[in-house]
Amino acid sequence: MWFCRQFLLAWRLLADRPGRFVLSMTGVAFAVVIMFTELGFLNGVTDSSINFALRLDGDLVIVHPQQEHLKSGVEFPLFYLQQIRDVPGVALALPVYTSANYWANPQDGSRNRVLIIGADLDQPMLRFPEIAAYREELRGTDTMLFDRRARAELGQVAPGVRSRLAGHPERVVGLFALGPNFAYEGHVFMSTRNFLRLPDQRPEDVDIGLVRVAPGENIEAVRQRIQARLPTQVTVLTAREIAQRERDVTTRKAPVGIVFGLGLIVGFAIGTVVCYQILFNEVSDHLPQFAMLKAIGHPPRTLTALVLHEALILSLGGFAVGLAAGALLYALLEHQTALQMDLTPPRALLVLVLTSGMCLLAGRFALKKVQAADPADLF
Amino acid sequence: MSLPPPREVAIQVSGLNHHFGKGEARKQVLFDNNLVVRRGEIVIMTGPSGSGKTTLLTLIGTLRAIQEGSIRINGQELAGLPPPAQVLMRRDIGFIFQAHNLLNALSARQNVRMAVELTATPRGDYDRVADAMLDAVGLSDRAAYKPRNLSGGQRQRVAIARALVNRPRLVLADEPTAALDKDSGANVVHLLRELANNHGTTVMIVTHDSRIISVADRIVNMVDGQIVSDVRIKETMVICAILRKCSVFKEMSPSDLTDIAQKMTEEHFAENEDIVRAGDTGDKFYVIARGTTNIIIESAGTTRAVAKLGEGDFFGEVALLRDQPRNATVTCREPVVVYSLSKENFLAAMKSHKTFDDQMSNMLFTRGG
Repeated sequence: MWFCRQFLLAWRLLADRPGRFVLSMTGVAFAVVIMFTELGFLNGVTDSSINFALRLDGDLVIVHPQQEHLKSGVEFPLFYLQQIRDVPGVALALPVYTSANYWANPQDGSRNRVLIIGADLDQPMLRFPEIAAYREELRGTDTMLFDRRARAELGQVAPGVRSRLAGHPERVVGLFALGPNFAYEGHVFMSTRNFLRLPDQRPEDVDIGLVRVAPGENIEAVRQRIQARLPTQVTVLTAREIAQRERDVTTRKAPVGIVFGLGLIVGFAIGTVVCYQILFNEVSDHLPQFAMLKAIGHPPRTLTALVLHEALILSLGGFAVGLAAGALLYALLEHQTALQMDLTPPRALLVLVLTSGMCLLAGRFALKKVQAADPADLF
Repeated sequence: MSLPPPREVAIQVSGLNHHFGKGEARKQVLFDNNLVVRRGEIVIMTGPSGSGKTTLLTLIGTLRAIQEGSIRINGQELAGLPPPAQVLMRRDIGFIFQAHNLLNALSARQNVRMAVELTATPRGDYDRVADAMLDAVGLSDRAAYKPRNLSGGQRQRVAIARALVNRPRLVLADEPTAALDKDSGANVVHLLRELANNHGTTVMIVTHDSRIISVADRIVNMVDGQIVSDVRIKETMVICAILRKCSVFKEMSPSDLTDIAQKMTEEHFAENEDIVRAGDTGDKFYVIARGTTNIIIESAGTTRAVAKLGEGDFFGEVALLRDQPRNATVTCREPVVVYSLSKENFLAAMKSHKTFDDQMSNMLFTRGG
């Protein structure tokens, strides 16, 4: 009851000046939009960065120990995989070849970086359902699948389109969906045979090894056996670990992740300052009245609750406006950058928590001013 | 004609000093103030601005911490009271500020409710209680108005309603009628008087509004941080009326009479009690306010009543003037009320009032000791 009364009072104080209230909410909403944008980019970068890692369909992933992430292009010799096949519990160990190179836009000839993925057509061990659909077409020489979600700069590409990849003529036989990330504008897929037809590609240099564990085998036990067999030569990761590694590299080590992470903090800081300004003015305007409430015997918690409720109302109002603007902005950015900008409920919730946090933090600062309200000054 | 028996003490200020500022800038604003206010009294505080009356008011109102000395409100010592207890203390005090300090966002009713909410009143009765109080200040038709839609006087009346709605035991007001027209002012003053009379509310008002003075029981005047005069109006008027009947005071101006009256103390005596005894050292001068007494002189082993004194008569001056022991005993024939004046004050009054001196000499001469 007491809580409701304070909430109602806070609402009345704010709503008493609708113009200012709307302006205040806009201020908070501005900070919310900044946070949404930064969070969107951060997630866009990480979501996109792990888009390929998530498609790796193996129980274990073999990489070179010095490979920091899947785009670093550090390779290991193919015969390691042959050795791994002999490890008890390993059902399958196949290479996936990747190479970064240039794709010529079929319309204007401009060159854009794409990641070329080469894998076995019958057992690609990649979660691309399109591979099975175009398997026969892909058996043809110099054929490939093109990333339907690649950036627009790569041109209008449909099945049947011919263009040059790494200077080598290729024919697009179908499309698959992956999407760009901060390293590549898009992806292409082809059979191992066609991959090795590209300039400077050797079958001995493997980027990624995918291991399927025999049914009933413990994945961790098999991983330890492989690692024991090739202790320094390879790193063995689970599918989950490789995705986490890609995410960590982008968010913690790569400047983009740091930039947007910092942006999020800056947004929070701006929001806190804006909110503090609003609450400070609100409190300053009401200072004699607050002092009067103290004088007539309202305990300090009444005023504390009042200011924090005002902060909460501002954060909720600001969040609602900011959420609507944020959703609009996401759609716009996704369209513009082709980055994945998903406004998922947990992310919205995160921003809501941040917004409430910044408003309450600002409220906490503004409380100092309230505590300074001296009823003795009223006389 | 006399006063009702004194009620219990509501406010007791003793040895109160107060400083503002720190270090070099530290400045004393209150100097050894002493004041006793009884329940149901309306005290008006006057004095030039900066004389410390507002500071005294905030100290009594628990709005400031006491530095030196003591204030007791209804027996509760305020010095060293922890903040939560101060907050509770303030709920029993109605504050009427010069600026109304209403919450702009709330209607008159809601503003008054802010005070009602602090009491044990059932939630459902908040509005009814608030409305009744607004009605008492003549604003029943404005209960739903926000302050911005009220006139200055109406706002002030809402603030007064908020201060009085919980029937506080103590009301502290700072120029409560400054923003009010004659009728509204009279209405508010009437309300305060009613609270004081019917509920024993003690009221302290800082004001320069002479219209209010008529309701006051006392006027406390402060100058330079000190209470310089404390006039108990009603009591003083009663004493003055009696003094005026005395032949010695007849010629005195009202202001001189008031001066003397203020220095007099009321004393009650039972039937057959001696007010003074022959042979005692004389230290007081008495004026009889009510009842009759016999003057008894003992000589040669026999006592005889030489005179009968009644209302308006005085005695005891001879011993003071001549520095002699009492030459007679004064006994009450019935319960007697007297006003007494100490020797020191009596002699001082004699010196300052020429006519009084003459009259007294005359009187002594005719009485012959």
